[in-house]
Amino acid sequence: MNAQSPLTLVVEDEPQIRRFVCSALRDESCRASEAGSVAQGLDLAARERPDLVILDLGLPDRDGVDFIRELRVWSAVPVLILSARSDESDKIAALDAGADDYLTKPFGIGELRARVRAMLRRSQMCGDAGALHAFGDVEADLARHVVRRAGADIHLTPQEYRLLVQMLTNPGRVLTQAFLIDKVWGPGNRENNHYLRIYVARLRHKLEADPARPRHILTETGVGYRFQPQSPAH
Amino acid sequence: MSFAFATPFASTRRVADYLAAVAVCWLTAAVALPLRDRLDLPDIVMLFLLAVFVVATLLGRGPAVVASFLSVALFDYYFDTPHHLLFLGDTEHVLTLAIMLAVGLVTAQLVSRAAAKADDAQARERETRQLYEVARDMAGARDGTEVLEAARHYLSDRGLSGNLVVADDDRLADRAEGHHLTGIASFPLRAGTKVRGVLAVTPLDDRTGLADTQHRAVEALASLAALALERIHYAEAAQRAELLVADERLRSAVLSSLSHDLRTPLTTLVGLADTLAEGRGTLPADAAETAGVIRDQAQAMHKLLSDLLYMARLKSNSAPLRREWQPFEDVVGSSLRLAENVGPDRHVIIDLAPDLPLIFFDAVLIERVLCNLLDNAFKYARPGARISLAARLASAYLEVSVCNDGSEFPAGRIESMFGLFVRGTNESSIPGAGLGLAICKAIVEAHGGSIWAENCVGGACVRFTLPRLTPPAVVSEDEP
Repeated sequence: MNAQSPLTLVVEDEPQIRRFVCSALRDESCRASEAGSVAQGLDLAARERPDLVILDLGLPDRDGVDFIRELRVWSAVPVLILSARSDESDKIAALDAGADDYLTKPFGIGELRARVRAMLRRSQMCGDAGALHAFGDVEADLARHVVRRAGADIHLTPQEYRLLVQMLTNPGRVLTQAFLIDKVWGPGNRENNHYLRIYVARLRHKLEADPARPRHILTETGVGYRFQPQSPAH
Repeated sequence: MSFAFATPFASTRRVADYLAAVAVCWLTAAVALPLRDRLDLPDIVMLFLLAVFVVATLLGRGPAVVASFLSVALFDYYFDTPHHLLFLGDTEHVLTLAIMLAVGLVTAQLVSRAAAKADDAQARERETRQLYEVARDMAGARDGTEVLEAARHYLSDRGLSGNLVVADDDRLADRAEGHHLTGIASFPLRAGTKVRGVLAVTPLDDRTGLADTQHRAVEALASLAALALERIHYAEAAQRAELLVADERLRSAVLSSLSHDLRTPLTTLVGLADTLAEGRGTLPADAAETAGVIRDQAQAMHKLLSDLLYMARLKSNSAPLRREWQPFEDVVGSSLRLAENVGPDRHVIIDLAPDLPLIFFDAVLIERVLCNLLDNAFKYARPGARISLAARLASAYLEVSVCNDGSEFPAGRIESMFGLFVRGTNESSIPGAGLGLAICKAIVEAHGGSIWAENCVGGACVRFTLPRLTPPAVVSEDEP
């Protein structure tokens, strides 16, 4: 492990959880620094400029959502949330504040490592992903506004297209309903979230092989949606 | 006096008044008689009129009328010539006598009317003061008993006795209004739109019915009592609501801290055991396997914990449903993803009717229902058995079914399977606590649907319904 390997900041007040999370990170060839509180975490984040932050929402000194808000003022580093609460509203608040993904406690090591890998890969190839996107048998050229499936042009309505663009440009991230509605229909339409669900269903019927068993446009129940360019390995 | 009925005490006083009036007239005659020759007749007339005036002022109208007639008689007999003759022969002073009588009667009338007015004013003032006092007492009353106490106090001041029936029942009031038992008058206590009870009033003596003035007073009392009862009712309701909110908040806080405090050690347990189990080559094979078992058991414990917390939340109503309009297909996809994670060697056949409308449901909870049903099918069906998930419209409902080929439900136990901690097969080697179906039932019923199990040809089925309701309008963007 050298200075070139990615640095992950783990903000979690339970030392035993930090222990196995850091052990899993080392298995992914990551360096890890640990913090037990929001204040310490923000301090470390500012000094060490980590490549990934793993954040527990229930910290002793302050709310984890506060951490994300303060971090997002000056950093775009990907944030993975660990939530022990079953209430979806906490996750939504954290995601809306700028977190990228979440894991609900308890979670397996394999799940954690897969998320960390995916997030680091995305942040490494961050910046311009280009206009060309491909998933399954679908190809999209955002420069020319063309979407093809198995070589055939697919007609999308303007709103279907805008929704697809949001998904393509945020691969792997959990996108909350509020985020997608704001981007596609504009703020002030949040109470009409059945539109979002209808349009996601339409996209699935046009682009997924089996709309009832989607492989790319996934539902994070109670939270929002996630676009997964590759089918999960496991 | 405002008492409309005479007491024995009052009637004795009345007789005494008349006797006094007679005495005053005779006294006047006795005083004037020695001066008969020195005074002019008009002076003597004036003396008698003074006597009538005094009687009217002090004793009231009746004695004054008696005094008027007696004065005229005495004047005529003792002072008018010829003396000692009553109304005989003399026509000279007929006019004098007539005027004297008229003045006496008019005086009596005027004076007594003034006195009655003064009495009336006094009575009104007393009435107002009493009403004010009872209003003050009722405003301070903390419960129905204190309202009744204040009402009784007021009624006994006016020779009545009362009873109060407090009830939130409009029919009671309707019955009470038209209902006058002998001697009992009922007054519905109407505040706002609601009737708070009935006030029943009886006179203390054996008279029947109430006088008009009393009726009005008791009506005023009834509306005061109604207002007081209404105020008490709302104060109590507010207090109850506050307690309930505090109660729910506490319950919710306990549940959420339980959830957090139990999940944290489970997370450590799962994570550390998983680290050992996955640690490639660092542990002997059997130790790694043991670690894997510990992890799986901790996961199972977490599932149980989640089920219990769900159940507690559903039963306590502390977590309201988050229902939203959404395609059913959406929750099918996410449930399959979760269920097939657990049992990846199983394949589920999906059969959704085309063009299902939007359904109004809490996706997290319905996902739980589908996961539990699929989980059961995975657990109880033989490996390789067909498992299917279907949804179709049936009149006012969406009907969803999860079926598996092969094993059936034990006959005779189908009804009881949805109870808490009921297992399909006793002493089963299959893990589970018998919570799954009970939670499904609680969730589906919270949505206004129903759930049941049945054995179909060569397999077992659980079906549930969700109400269809009327979906919100969707404006298509392609339309102008």
